[in-house]
Amino acid sequence: MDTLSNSLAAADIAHTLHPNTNLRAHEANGRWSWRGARASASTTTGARSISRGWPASGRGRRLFRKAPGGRGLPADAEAALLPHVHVQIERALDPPRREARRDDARALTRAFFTSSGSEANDTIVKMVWYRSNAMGKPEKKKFLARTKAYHGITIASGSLTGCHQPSRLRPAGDPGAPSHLPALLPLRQEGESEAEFTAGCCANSRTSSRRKAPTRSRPSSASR
Amino acid sequence: MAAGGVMPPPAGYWEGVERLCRANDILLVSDEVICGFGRLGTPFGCQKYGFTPDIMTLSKQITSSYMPLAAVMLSEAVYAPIADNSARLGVFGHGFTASGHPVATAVALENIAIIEERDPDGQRGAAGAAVPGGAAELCDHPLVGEVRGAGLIGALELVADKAAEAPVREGRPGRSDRGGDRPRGRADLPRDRRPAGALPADDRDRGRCRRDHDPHGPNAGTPHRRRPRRKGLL
Repeated sequence: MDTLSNSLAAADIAHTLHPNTNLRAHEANGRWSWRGARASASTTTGARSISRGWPASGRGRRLFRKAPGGRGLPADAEAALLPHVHVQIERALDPPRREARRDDARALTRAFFTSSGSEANDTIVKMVWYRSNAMGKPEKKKFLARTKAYHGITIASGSLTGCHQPSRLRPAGDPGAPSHLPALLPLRQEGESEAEFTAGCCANSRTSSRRKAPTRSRPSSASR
Repeated sequence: MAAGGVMPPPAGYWEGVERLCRANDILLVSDEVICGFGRLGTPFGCQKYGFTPDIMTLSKQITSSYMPLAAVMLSEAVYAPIADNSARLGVFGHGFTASGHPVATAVALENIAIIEERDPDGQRGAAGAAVPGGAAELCDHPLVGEVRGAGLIGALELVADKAAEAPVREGRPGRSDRGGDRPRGRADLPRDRRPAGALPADDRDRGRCRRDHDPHGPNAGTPHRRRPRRKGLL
């Protein structure tokens, strides 16, 4: 791909996980690789647009140009209306990526965008399951969430939250249903120190995750 | 730390969970929708509690909720098998119509610039009391079972009987053990107060505006102005 190494297009390839994409093909040639007819015509260098569906011209553009108030939309807001979705994606996520980097070996270098946290958590469940299958561990599907943590109300994230409605919608005995870790201080026994309580929670979790692991091709230790 | 009832983790919890995950080859996910962007006094909640996630969820604060946007952040170790499999299958078949919408991400850029400008170290939650707005003084109130929180996130847990820790409105929707869909706090009915996103430290007390119409508050007696009804629409 003919792209400057410090360009947004190169950064996009390095740091973005595009939806509905052959990711390795995208890294190689910078093209959207959707399995579709006309949708595959776009490039990350912005040569052509995916479609004419974005509000890049006409009334939509005029409306945003008139955006009122304070600092208003950023100076490149109009450029943002052009269909370079992937370019904007990388730029938007660069600061949190930098902030989140504590350990280079585990730096969070890839971003996938959604419109809400619930969608994001549902996406994580699907990604992890997809990854487990890709690694030849299809039995590794168990999530373990802290009791009373709130992660959303959709099917997957609601189940992580511990909501009753998503849990009831699941088939009985669904092996993909998450488990919960009741690490809540009010549950501490009388006389038990905070450290002892925490150690007990983790020990119980280790025991239960091993006990519940399916015994198919290989022993699995519960995927998060 | 969110609508589940604002339950700060016990000491050592996340360190223990991280050890457990590393020892058993388990991915560690940090949901930073509530705790991210300085709310707990560190740029992200995982830094306050001392662990390194493999996957992180960002939302709300990424645009201060002026536009709908969220993100999943992944490490290369998580990404690589997904990318390889997408090459084998031809696609990673997942996405949303408005994923990474250009306007939402442009607003996120500006919002993050404002946050970095006002609070470059992501510590705006550190200066605040665990429970903002003087709520800690309410501990002795007979209806307050507990006051808890961290950084800019705080909760008052209301109880009907303080000695017995009996929750108020027992059996009503909202109880986590009676079929409600949103699990609540220890007594199942906390009142959490979460200040807005790009709130400068000096203006933190603006969070009190929710109580402006408290009948016993400073604005008691102020007439509530109802918005005039528009005719002819329906």
